[in-house]
Amino acid sequence: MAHQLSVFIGNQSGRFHEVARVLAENGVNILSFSLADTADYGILRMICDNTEKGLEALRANSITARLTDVLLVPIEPQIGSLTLMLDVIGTDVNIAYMYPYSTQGPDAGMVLKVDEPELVKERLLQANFSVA
Amino acid sequence: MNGLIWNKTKECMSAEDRYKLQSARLVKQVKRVYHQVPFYREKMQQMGLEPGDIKGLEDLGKLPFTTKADLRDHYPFGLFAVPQSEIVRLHASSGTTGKPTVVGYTRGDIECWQECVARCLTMAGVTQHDKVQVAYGYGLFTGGLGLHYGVENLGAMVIPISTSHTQKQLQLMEDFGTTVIACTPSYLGHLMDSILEAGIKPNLQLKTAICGAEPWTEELRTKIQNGLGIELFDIYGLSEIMGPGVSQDCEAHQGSHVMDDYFLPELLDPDTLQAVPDGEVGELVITTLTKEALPLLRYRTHDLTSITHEPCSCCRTSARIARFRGRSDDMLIIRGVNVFPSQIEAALMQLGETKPHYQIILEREGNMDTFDILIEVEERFFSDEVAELERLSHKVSQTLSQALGLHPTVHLVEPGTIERSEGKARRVIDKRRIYVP
Repeated sequence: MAHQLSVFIGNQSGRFHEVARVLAENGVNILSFSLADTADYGILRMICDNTEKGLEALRANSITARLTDVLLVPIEPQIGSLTLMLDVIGTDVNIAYMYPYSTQGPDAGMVLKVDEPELVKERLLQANFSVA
Repeated sequence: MNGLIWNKTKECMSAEDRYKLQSARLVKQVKRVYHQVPFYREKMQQMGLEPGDIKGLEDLGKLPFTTKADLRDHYPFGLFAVPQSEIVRLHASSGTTGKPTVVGYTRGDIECWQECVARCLTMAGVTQHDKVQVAYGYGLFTGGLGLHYGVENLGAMVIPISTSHTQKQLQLMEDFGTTVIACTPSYLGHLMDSILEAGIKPNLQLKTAICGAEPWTEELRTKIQNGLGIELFDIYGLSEIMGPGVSQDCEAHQGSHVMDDYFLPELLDPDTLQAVPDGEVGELVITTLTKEALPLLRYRTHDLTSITHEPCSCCRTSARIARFRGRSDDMLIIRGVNVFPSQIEAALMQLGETKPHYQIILEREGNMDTFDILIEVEERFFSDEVAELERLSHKVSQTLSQALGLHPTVHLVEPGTIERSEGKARRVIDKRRIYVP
């Protein structure tokens, strides 16, 4: 399973900037991210090229962060491919959250956090999806 | 001046008669506690003191002190001076840790209490023709039932509505023709805002408010008096001593008359525990002179005030205490509920092996207290899922609600957000201005 870098961001201006700055200064490239926002805080979820290094750098700057296991599932950039992936996952499994990622090339895909990752992975592999 | 006095014989007695009565009651009370309460007997024996050494008020300074910690150490009934069969009621207030402070009353104690509250109500011009809406909490808290029995004793009509349900408070006030409201001053401020907003002031018969259970200032009194066109009276009490009715101001509003034929006040320097002269600020220490169930010698209230023994223009001769200047301990009074920071600490310990970094912020919004807690989200509390973090907020809120009886608003913040001075976080930021500076 892939590692996502999850970061707690307080509801104060400049905090997201601080996270981006720390990662940039440590040469960590953010490939994709999503930000969940609430009234008091946000949760920043990122796929990076060097997650461990990113975690270390954030911790060194007293920023609350941790690694989370997620599924990376490439899908075809065409109509219906998302539906197909969700069909395979099945409606009996709860998806905690999901966001897209893209690379510099034509590949695109989804980052998934699900309640039963092993089961989902197996279903996707059986349906000829690749899962990282 | 309405000139009404509930018990002229007691409330207006000469200084000499008062001294004699207090002395006689003190001597009798010391004998009782020495023989009935092992805690006091041991304390006095350790000090080499016998009941016979206390011959009058002049010997008061020889007696041992009592603290809230003593009540906690003898939880729940260890300091009672009568068999449990003689106790007709229990009340409880916040303790400094998980356990509440329990107080008991005999039938005689209840009679004394309702006498004191009737005196207070009369001081405020309340008569049997009045309708008194008691919007203090009923239950273990002494406010509701304390006022209730006093109003009944006076012979006025009591409307026992208890706290909250503001719309209902207004409706009954309007429909029943309530003339007196008894509640915390901050809640009265909230009621005032609601009354003015609803535009029902012309329909109300309200003329008097009996406010207590939390410290407040002249500023708030003036604001509400002007806003509602009613007169406010400041009733004081603490459950350890009895409950509301230990003291109250009369129409002269020149200090709070202590029912000192029952509750003997002393003003002491909180550090040296030596008496401070009249007019100077010190800690109020009270000895219950007639209390049967839970007699306390020199109980340290930790309330800071000053005292005068000059007779008042209302003819009452009792000692009067000034508005409170603060506390000589760290107790907070939030929405009329006593809260010790140690209670908050103890509750938060339930969240994990080590408690989170936190800060309590108290403010006044409108006239009501707001109670917010900031929790620093360290890695061990952090989750990538909003639902999990919401569960954490909820758990903190539930834990504190159960421990304190107050619902805080929880805010999750980043580590390092809470200001630290010399590495130490300030646990409580109280931005309310509730004490006389």
